Amino acid sequence: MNIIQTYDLTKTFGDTIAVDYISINVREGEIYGFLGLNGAGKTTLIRLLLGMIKPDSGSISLFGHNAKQGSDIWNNVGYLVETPYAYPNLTVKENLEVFYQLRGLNDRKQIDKIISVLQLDQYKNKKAKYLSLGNSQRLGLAKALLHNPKLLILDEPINGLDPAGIVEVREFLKDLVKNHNTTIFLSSHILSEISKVATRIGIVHEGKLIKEINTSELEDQIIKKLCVNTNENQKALQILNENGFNASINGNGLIESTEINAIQKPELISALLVKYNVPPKMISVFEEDLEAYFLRMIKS
Amino acid sequence: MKQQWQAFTAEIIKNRHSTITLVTFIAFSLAPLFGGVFMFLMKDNGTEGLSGAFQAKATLLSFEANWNSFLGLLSQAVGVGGVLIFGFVASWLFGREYSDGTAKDLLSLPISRAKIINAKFIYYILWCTALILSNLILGLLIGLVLHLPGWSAEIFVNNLIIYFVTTVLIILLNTPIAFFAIFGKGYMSPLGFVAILLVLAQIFGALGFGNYFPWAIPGIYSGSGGADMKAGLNFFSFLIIGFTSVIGYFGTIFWWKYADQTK
Repeated sequence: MNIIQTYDLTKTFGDTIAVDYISINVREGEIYGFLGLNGAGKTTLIRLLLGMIKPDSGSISLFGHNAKQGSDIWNNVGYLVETPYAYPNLTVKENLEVFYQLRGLNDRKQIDKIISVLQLDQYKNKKAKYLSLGNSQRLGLAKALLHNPKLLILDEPINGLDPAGIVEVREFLKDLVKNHNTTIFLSSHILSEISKVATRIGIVHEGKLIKEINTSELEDQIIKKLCVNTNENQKALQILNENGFNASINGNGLIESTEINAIQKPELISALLVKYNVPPKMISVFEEDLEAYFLRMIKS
Repeated sequence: MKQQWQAFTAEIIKNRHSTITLVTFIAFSLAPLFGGVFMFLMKDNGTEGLSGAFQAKATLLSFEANWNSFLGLLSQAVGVGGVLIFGFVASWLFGREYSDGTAKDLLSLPISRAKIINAKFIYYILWCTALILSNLILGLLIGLVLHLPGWSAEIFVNNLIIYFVTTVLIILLNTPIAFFAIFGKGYMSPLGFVAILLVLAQIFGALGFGNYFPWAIPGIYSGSGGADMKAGLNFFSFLIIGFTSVIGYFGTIFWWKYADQTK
């Protein structure tokens, strides 16, 4: 079942096309990572999904329905958009009480439970204006999770968290999906982070969805190559080619091969070159990092 | 109805620990306090006890140190000061969600957006009502302490009617302030709007069109412009207030429900 489905969703602000014919399907139990640079259109898409802004064209459905304002569907949706703000003069607990009331919940234990889950116990009677950025983020997540939603829409949920907090939230989100059948749509501008939690990633650039990929396939998409340097690179290249290794000289004058055999077993290359008396001075496997992959995607 | 109550309860929680509430009560209480000083200075020497502009105003309005003048003064304070203070209350209640950055948290909930706005209007009415009741009680206490002469049930009831009608007129008039708070996404633009309205009310009043300028009408009704100006109020004056209020109310609801919310 598609929990989120958009079709040709478009939104412009004046001359700026913020979201440009985006069609996505987020299936039940998925963690869909929506990746893009700042200003790529991530937050606009999230606001569209949440009904905060109206699309110029296209359609959106949540849980298979057109989610109207005030409908019960919204009690299946928890969200956090951009910087999580709270009523500054209210305590953490009082802030949650506001949303407990607005959502018409009827089990007050849910407030204490989510405070405990987000490890805000020691701050529950502290006014929101005195919270650190990380704890404000936790309070934002607590508001989003207070009613045990089936769908979580999170905009940059790890912003402001320290490394321990990031790991904690990551594991927490994974647990929600695994043990509570929650579906998560989250945006980020950090691929390395999103790849650790998402099951599928959509890359957005200048309002367009330019690539969708399963995280498990990401490894195959990343460029890997073997780089070799010898005293006689032309001769070494000839030897490699004659022995079935497809290689070339790159812009830096190094021998470069993207052959999977060469990448997986560089010791074979080394032995071969030694055998023909052109021993390598340098041999290394280069693997494109996720950020480089992301930049390559948006540039292409 | 249940959802409306939930939204109202949420509004009550939001305003806990609000220092603004106390500030409005203190600011509004200045009116009966200064009115009391006014009466005290006039008590022995009439308008001779006053000086400058106060003396001119007191003479113009035929003020005396008695209950009728003092209660009239309280109504006039509501008629003019109420525009400012009630406008401040509306600006704060409706604009704070943007200034606090919490507006986005109220938009995708299983409760109608209109109910959230209605809860704010209900809270606004109760807040203003509490303000005028506190001023009335304070005024009565000051009058008693000063041993003002001329008390009668008829005078009290007549002034009470003017006091409360003036209050209702101003409460009605602040729906456009709520709209400007939502439209301007904060409480600064509606406060600016209130300041402009106060100036315009004076200008229209001076030009003789005050009875058709919504924000001048409550002041005129309260008697702050004198009996002649009050006599100039007619059915259309009150119709204009009703029209302004309805436009402001539905404009606020419409904007909150249908405008793109990007903050």
